[in-house]
Amino acid sequence: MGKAIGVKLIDELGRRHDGRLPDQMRPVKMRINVLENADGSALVEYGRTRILAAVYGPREPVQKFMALPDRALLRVRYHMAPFSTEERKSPAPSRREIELSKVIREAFEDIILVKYFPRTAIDIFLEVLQADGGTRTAAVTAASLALANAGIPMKALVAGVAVGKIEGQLVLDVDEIEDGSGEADMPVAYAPDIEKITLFQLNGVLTREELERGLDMALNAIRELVELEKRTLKEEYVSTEEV
Amino acid sequence: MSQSSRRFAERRVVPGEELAVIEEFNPGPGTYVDEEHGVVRASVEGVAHYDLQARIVSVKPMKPLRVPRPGSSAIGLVTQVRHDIVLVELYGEVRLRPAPAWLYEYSGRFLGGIPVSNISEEYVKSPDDYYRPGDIVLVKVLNSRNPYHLSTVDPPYGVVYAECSRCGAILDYVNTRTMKCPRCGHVEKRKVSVLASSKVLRLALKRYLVSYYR
Repeated sequence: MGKAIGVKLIDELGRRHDGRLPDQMRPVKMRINVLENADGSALVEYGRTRILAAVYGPREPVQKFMALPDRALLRVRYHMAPFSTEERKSPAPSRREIELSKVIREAFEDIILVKYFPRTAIDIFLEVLQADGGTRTAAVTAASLALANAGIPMKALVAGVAVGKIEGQLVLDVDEIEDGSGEADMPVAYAPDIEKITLFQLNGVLTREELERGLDMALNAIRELVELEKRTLKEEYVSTEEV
Repeated sequence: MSQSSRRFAERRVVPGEELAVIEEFNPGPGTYVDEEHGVVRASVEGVAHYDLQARIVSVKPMKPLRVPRPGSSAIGLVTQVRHDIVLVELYGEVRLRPAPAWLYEYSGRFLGGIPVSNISEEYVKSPDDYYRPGDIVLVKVLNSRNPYHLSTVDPPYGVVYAECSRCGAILDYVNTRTMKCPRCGHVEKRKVSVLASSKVLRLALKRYLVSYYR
């Protein structure tokens, strides 16, 4: 979307363009059991970012040669719907989507207890219905919920959030506008119960001190997100807006 | 004691939740050991149950995985008959007692095999005289790993649905070794389930068979 020219991203009071404080998340909504055909499913919203997750399996992989003799094969498809962005996105998987699929798959390879299901496949489909920044981290959160909803054994729940740097200041959960004109973007996925970071990327430049502070911000937000996930699994639907 | 009984009371848990210290309880189904922190954690969403006698903690899942379980009965389709094994594609689980009934479809189609030695109680010279590709069979699952080992030795297991190899009509049950075509009178050899004549089972399977042959 490019730079938002003439728009101050942080005003004199330290509020962001949408009125949030630097360490404030967008309103989060989570819902499970949104699809009947899938073994597990979830719908997650971070503000205007909306992700649908569907989990199938364990089942026999369609291409049997792909099956692994000692563990389940994990397959992740991260995909953006053509209508998810302002300008139509070609439905063919782009270089970016293929990379994100890999990164999200690796975020779950050490979380799912794949050793229990040799020669089978577990499929995670992540469809971005509406994109407004932070789709990969919202996708991790949705995948974690859908996996738990499917009853697939996993070590812990995972959630993700991005920390960005705009106008020299660290901000939590960057959206599209902030991402487009910010100086850095750092998506993080974390499993608080077992204290493991499962996804970590950094686009841009941060000082060592900024990185540590940013990571702290992300981990604190993720702890709250995982609490929401736990409540969602027990109550089916949770929103931070009504509270 | 009251504090420990409260700690070990039944409760709803989600994956990753700490259930007990490793020294207190052994991990049962639905749990795993987190070596790094020295605790037993839940691996699935469900209800935690503490067996204070056996010192085992387990989690009963809210949504059990739909995969073949050892000791259960499954419905499948014979896909290949080899000289030493009969390959079966498993579709779903059935219950035999108190009355035969369809339980659920598996989360995918799983491959299983009945070795010659597990086909029948008698000596099996050639599996061709017991199964034919296309038969729908009731089998017992013996293990919990992907190439599933199956058995049809017991009387309730065997063919429940087969078509005449000459005219395609659905074969009728005669006895546990023979089936007969009602249209052309062709007699075929099978390992027939004693439940093949059960109306209840046929009705339960009908929904599935209709969708498969459509």
